[in-house]
Amino acid sequence: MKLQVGYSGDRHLYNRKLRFMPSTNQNHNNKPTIAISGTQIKGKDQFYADIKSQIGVVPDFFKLPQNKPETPDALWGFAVSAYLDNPLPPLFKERLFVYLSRFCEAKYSITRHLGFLIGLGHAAGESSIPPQSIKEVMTLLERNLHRDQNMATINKVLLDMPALANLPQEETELEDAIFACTTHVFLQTEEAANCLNVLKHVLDDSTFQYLLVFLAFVRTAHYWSILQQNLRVGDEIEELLAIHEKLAELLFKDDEAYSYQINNALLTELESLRMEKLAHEMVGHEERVVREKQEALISKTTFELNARVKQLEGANEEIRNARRAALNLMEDAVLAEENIKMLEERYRVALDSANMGTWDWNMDKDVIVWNEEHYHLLGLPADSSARNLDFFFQFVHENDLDLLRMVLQKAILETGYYQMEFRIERADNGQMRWMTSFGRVVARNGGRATRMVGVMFDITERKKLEQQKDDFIGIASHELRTPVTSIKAYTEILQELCEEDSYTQGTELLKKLDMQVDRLAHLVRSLLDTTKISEGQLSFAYQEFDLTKLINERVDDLRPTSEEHNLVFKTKDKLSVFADKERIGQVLINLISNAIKYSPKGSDIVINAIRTDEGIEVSVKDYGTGIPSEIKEKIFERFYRARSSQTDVFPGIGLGLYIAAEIMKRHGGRIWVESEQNKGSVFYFLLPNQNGL
Amino acid sequence: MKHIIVAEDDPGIRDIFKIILERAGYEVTSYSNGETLMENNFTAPHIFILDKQLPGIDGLEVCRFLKSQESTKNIPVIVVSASPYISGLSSNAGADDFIEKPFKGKFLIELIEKHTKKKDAAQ
Repeated sequence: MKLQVGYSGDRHLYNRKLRFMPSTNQNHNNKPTIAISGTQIKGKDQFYADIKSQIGVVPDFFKLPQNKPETPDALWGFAVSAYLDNPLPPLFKERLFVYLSRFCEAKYSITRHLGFLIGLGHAAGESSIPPQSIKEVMTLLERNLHRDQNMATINKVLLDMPALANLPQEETELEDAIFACTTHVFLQTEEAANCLNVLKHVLDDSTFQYLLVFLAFVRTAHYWSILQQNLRVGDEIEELLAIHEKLAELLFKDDEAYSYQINNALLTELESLRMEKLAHEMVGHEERVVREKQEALISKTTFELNARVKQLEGANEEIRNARRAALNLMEDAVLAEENIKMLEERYRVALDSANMGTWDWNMDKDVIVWNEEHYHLLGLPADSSARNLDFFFQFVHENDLDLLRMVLQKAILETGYYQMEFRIERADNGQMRWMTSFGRVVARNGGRATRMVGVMFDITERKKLEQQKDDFIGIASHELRTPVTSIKAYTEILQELCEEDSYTQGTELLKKLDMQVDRLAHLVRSLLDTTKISEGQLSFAYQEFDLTKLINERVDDLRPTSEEHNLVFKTKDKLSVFADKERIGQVLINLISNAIKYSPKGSDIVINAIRTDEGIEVSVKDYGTGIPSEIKEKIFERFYRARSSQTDVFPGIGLGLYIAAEIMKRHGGRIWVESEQNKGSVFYFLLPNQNGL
Repeated sequence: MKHIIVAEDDPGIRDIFKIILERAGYEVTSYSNGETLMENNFTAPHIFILDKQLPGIDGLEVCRFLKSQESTKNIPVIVVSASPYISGLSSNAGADDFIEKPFKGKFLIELIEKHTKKKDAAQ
């Protein structure tokens, strides 16, 4: 709404020419001069009348101080010459006055000149100028002062323009630019020097000069209003401001009002703060929502990326492992190939060198053909003449000859396989050397062997090493077992003595002692076996024997150890096997004593031996607690121990079944268990058919 | 009274053999090593008991020696060892039996009886 505040005074009676009259009598040309006139010749009323005729009102500005009437007169003269008679366009002057007055801490000037603009008095003393609307004035007051980059841009635009023919119309961008420039000059900011140059460029010389004169008066007016603190703007303006709260607010709470007093650094800071505030305000709710969405998205993406990165890292690790495995495989392959090459090489070297002799024995004709190396092993020059068995026997150590004959005989008649270690005396130097010889029947006529082939090589060095090794193990076992032997024997003798004297308590105690000694002996034995197994050196001595007989012997051995159990073995048939009798006995003792250990007193332990397609299968059945299926395989592992409950552990060190399994493995057989919880277990071992041995 | 020659380096075990065998009614002659045994002009016993691990000449070597001599080759030899792995080796050396330490006195006596009876039967 455009509020026109009319003024009913006689302003139309006054014209420009009249205004010149009171200022100076001497100056009649159209050029105004700064009037330092002698107002003393006039009366006070006349002075006020002059003012009123010019600007339509008599402002407080010129009324005070009362006791120095010459001062207002001088001010009036300055006002007339620099402001009222200044030939710059009246509306430009008045709007600029109002705009510049925003930066004055005293509100008198701005309020008073705002009044002039809207018709409460004459704008720049020009009664013909139509009053501006409140809205136009408010727009002017809301205009922020351009600074920094913004101002630099404006300056550049102005500099690029040709000089102005006329000062700009109100509410134009050009007016805004000129006002901004002028304000910087007026406030003497950092940009003042630039702005002064710009003004000099866009304005012609006289306009530029009049602008500076005008600024000088505005400055004077501001200072004066600051110094004269009780200046009043008049009821009319006060009433207007009471009605227009917003206008009043613009006037009295103008941020720009104090800024001219603040140094430029502060100005800059304020501007940046203002920009920040603006930016902050611009970030409204929607923007926050967007930002939150963005943050959520970023967080989600980050999470997904991290997961993906982890996945990739995992994949990478897998690839690395796979590559490593592949490399290992390749390495293994290479090693295997190298091994094969090495073996081939070794084989060739062995055959080519003096270490490996080969023999081929035609039994029907009793003709033996040797390779060159076989001759060398015996210390003979190689020749191609055929030899026979007796010729060979003359080099064999006499102490070994009978055995050799026996073993060979057995191979020919029974097993088809021959192996023997024996000593020979070399023909060339009489030196004794250890040989090992392997042979196999390769041809038969009906059931009768007709041809054997084999190899023989020198193992003297190995024998020496074996001797050293045996010595060492012998020493260790000797040291442990010899005292045990003494203790055991003394215990037995003491037992006998106690029995003779009918000293039953002593007999009982010594029986217990004897059992403990047996345990100790067994433990030492197991440890020795385990050491041997881990070294891959558990030795076996194969022989033919009756398994049924062996089982009977072992059952008889064990029967006294637990009179509460009933050991049952019903097999009567002879079961001839070719195995290590001692070792198989060891397996039997282990399985039967385990059965005793893990089954309730008074229960049966049933041993059985049968011939199957695969070989001879021996089983030991107990009626104990049984073995959970999950540990069926584990019990054959080294140092595995069964537990009867959470806390109890059965005695033993967990080597028995491990050793038994190793013994069966070495026989080409196997050992396994079938078990039902709380019903019992059956342990089996299989000795494969003789041909498999 | 049947006569047994024992070669055993450990005095404790030597004592044990003596006690067990004498209690069973045998006459015992003990040697602490193989050399002394082989060098001595001993009376042929009914049975030899040789510890495998003797100082100097090994028990198995002594066994081979005895089995190679006309005067002793038919006398049973039982090899005794604390090592369980020489059962095969001892039979390779010509021993008639092998007994592992520690052993039951009863078992030893049974073994001796078995071999001496066998020899008696052969003769």
